[in-house]
Amino acid sequence: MKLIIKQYLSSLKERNELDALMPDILSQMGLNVFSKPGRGTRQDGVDVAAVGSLDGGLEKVYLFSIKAGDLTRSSWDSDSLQSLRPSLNEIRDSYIPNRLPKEHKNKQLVICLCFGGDIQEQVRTSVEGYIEQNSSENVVYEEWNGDKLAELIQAHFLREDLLPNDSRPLLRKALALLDEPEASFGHYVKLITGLYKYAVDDSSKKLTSIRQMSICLWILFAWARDIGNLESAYLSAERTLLFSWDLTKEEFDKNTKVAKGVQGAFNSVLTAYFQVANEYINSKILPHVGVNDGLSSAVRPSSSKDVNLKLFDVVGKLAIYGLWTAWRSVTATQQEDRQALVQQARSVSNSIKLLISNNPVLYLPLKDDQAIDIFLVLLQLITSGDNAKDIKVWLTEIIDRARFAYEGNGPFPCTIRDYASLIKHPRRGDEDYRKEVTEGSLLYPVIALWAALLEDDEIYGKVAKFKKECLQHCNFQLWYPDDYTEKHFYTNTDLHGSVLSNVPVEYPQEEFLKVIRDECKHAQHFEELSAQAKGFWPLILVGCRHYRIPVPVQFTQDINEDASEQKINLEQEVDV
Amino acid sequence: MTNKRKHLIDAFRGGNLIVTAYELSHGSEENRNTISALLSDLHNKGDLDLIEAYSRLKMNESGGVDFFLARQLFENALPTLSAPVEEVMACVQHLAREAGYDLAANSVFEPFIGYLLADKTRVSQALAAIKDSPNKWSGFVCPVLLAGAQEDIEDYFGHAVDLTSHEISDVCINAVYALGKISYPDTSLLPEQAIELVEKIALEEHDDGVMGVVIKTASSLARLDDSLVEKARNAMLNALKNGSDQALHAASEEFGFHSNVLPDRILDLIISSFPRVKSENRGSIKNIDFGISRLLKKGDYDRSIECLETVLQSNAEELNVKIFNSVINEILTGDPNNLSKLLTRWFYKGDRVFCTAVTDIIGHIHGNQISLEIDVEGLPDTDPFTLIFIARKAIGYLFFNPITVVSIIISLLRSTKEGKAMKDLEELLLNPVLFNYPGAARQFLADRIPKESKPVATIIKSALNRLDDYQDNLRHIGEIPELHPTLLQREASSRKFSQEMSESYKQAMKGSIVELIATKSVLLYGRTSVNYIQQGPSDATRMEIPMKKHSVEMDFPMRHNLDPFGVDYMLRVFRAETLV
Repeated sequence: MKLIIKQYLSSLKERNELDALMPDILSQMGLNVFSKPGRGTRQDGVDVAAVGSLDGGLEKVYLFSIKAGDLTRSSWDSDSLQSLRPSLNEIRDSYIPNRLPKEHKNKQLVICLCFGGDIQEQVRTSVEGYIEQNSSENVVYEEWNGDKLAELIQAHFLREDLLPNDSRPLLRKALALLDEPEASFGHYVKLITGLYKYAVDDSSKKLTSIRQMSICLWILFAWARDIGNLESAYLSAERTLLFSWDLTKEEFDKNTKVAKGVQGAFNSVLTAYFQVANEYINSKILPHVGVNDGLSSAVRPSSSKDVNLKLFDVVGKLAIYGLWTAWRSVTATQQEDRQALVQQARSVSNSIKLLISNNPVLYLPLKDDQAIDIFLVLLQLITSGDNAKDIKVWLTEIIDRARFAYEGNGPFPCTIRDYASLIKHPRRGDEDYRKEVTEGSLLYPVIALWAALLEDDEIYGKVAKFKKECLQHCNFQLWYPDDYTEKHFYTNTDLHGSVLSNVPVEYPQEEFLKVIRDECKHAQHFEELSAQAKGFWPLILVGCRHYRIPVPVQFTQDINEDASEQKINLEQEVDV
Repeated sequence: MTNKRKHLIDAFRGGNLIVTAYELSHGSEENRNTISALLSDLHNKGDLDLIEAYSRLKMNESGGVDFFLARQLFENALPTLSAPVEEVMACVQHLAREAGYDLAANSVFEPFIGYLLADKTRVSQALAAIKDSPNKWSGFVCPVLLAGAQEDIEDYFGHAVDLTSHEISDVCINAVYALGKISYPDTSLLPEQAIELVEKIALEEHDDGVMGVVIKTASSLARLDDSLVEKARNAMLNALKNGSDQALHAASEEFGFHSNVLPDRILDLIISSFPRVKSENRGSIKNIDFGISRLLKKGDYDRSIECLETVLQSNAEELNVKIFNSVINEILTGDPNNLSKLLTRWFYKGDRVFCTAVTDIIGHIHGNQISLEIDVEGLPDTDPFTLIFIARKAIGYLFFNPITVVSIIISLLRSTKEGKAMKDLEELLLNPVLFNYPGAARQFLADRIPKESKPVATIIKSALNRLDDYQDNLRHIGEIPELHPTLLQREASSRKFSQEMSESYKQAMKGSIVELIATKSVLLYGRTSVNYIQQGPSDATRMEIPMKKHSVEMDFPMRHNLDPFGVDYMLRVFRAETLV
């Protein structure tokens, strides 16, 4: 296990990875972290600062200067501002006299050279010489290399008695099978389910559990990044985020030390999730959205269904990425950051449009539940950029193709979920089969809903006509959260929610919308969902995508007639 | 010789004359003739009764001998046989009936005619028997009249005319048929009398069987003498009007066997009746097939294709050009221009039934795909719109033959100088053809560049360059493992594919000639089969058969996986388009 952790640590980047990990490790060790990594350059050489007592000794102040990977000649002392030696000088010359909190001035200072790997031999003598020269009674230096960090992680997070049974083997299996994401993810789910269950009924264990989830996720991500397949890491990040939210939600409004610790741990998980998503989207998807048939051909399909399944999955992920970006733009504290994030969100919308136009398989969903991904995309497009026209073009293409495929016995959208049955779809000439696999639909009501929101008579009329002429047997339905949803949504432990059946697309658009809205008023549970109430509404969308639950229609409540650019209203800003 | 005689006599007494005669006649024509002569001689001497023996021969109980070969011995002996006429007639009738619907069933009547002619009194005896018991002997009307006509044509022509108005339909039919089969002397006026009679019958009668035989007789007489063509045509016109399936079948038979020699006026009349032929009457359809192939062979391209179009269009839902094997064979092996002319004509028409026929005809070609060209002279116009229309039809219907499609598009490029049309053709060449078939089609085009004119070569190069750019962009993406199907998905796909292949193989093997002519034996291991062939009680020869690998390669459209609906929809649109 220690080797696994060392491997993981050595691959971490400095910014937003190793420096994001250190506060959790130090907190878990019992130290009080009073300074965390900030933006831009180091704060006078210090990345993380903490105070406390280790192993029952005297209380000391620990000042960390962090570097990624091995400490080499160039990372020790070169012209780069990021070199370690100049940082150590800054700590001594500037941080200690000017920035060290007064209450800690009398304590012994431990300046920690922290890196994910090892000190290379060629530079060791220089480092030891520096330490020798600069150590004093009050100021000592320590080397916190990958080996030491791995031991600390093992001792404080992944010790056998801290973990549920089989956790370590599950993590090992998850890592070993990263090439087969489905299998890897399966083991990871068992792992964090165990961590979750360990803490769900005991508040005192929540903090440790969430931190453990975070560490496991980071380890998985680092390994996945190394072997070049992030699929398992992405799914694991989603699941970890949702599970950790379920553990966090009751602590969110509290001000106790433990509650604050839990909130902080959740933020670490959120940070990890963002890292994984960023890496996935920016390195694997965005560079190729402009290539004609690019991502489709990269699927290397065994069957034409593979391209369809994968591309709708990708576009859903891209939409979620854009929605989180929009969320971050509202919660960002700096104006510059806000503007940059708004631009980024718009850029995601443009990328989605390119992805769709260059991969025509996205004009016809194969599974009815791909309505979830479509809904996410529509939300993203309507909230970031002037995209109403593009939405209409896309929806027109979907409904036209769906109808043509249904009537022509092509691969029409169906309710089949099992892959082995899906690759045999459709069974041509079998009318009973055709009806059976279209007995219910979320897809067409979603199209009708968005057509009505955008006041597009043509698209709405096409859905109504299709229903009347071909799909009278089909139960058009929309999903609403109910009083069970809060308890089961984030962990998917049971069925929840209620379905509005026989959604009346035969009504005029205004009456149709009224029915939908009236049901929203009846079903107040959406507003009561903790993620919505506490401003983390994108979590709901993550859960919908991850567990294949329909997106609540309440998300469209703020979309007005103009629909040129919509804002998502937050009830409160959230400190992240 | 003496041994064989004794053998045959003993066999007759033992009740297995035919089996013995069959065995003795094995091996050569000479043997058969010898045994037939012996049988006739022995019968005439009273040593055996050939009539009695053959009256007991049955198709399904022939004691292990081939029925027709055994019957042939009787047929060879019949002309020289001495036997009462009615007994011979009964035996001949039995042997014809036993043969059932086999095409050779009535071949026994030809030697029967020889038997009648061997004795002057026999014909009249046979005729008298017919008149006494017309129901029993109606099948003999024609051979008896034909035999009689050889003795006294005027007299037996008169008998034939009389019998055409007999109350029993079968007698009429056979009498009318005989009028067409009589060998008339060159200067005889009887054919004219015959055709006038046939004309009259066609007007007055309505029995379908009679109408059928009227058509056959009229056709025979028309072929005899050009001056009779109009009357023959008249008779056939009325017969077709008054008759139905049997009349149509008779017309199809005449067309099938004599289309290369029938006068044009009669040909056109017969062809005009084909829309009424029902698709389930496969015998008639086969005759039409044969007739059209004869016309093609003769070089009468327009008439043959118009005939084919008539039949296909009138039975668009039930009939398919695949049934017309002879026509397809002639198109593919005969004049090489025929296929180009045909596909140009049919793609221009745009009708589904014709364009599908092009696909089916080209589907008969095994091995490498063929290169085809548009018959520019056969096009009513070379308007750019027309050329694009034809290119789209070619893509829609020949999409799985990319080399053929590409060759057609190149020929279209050659036939225009209009810049926009050439650009539009380039677009079609690129997408969907090259985008779907970047392998073989690309190579074909590259090989064509030095052979084409500069404008055409420029278009081809441009298309290939754009294809290269497209592929380079795709290659540049590299591997994205996150998008790959999972192991379980790959296994499920593989299982499905194997099942489908296995099922498809079983279906293909059903009725395959391999199963008909060979016994299947499965080898589980190795690459050579060793067998020992017994050639005697203690003599076995070792035989070693090395196995060879057999595989089939086909190009699969690449974008079928990337955008299956899009490809399918585009092909449907191309197929459904019509020129207005």
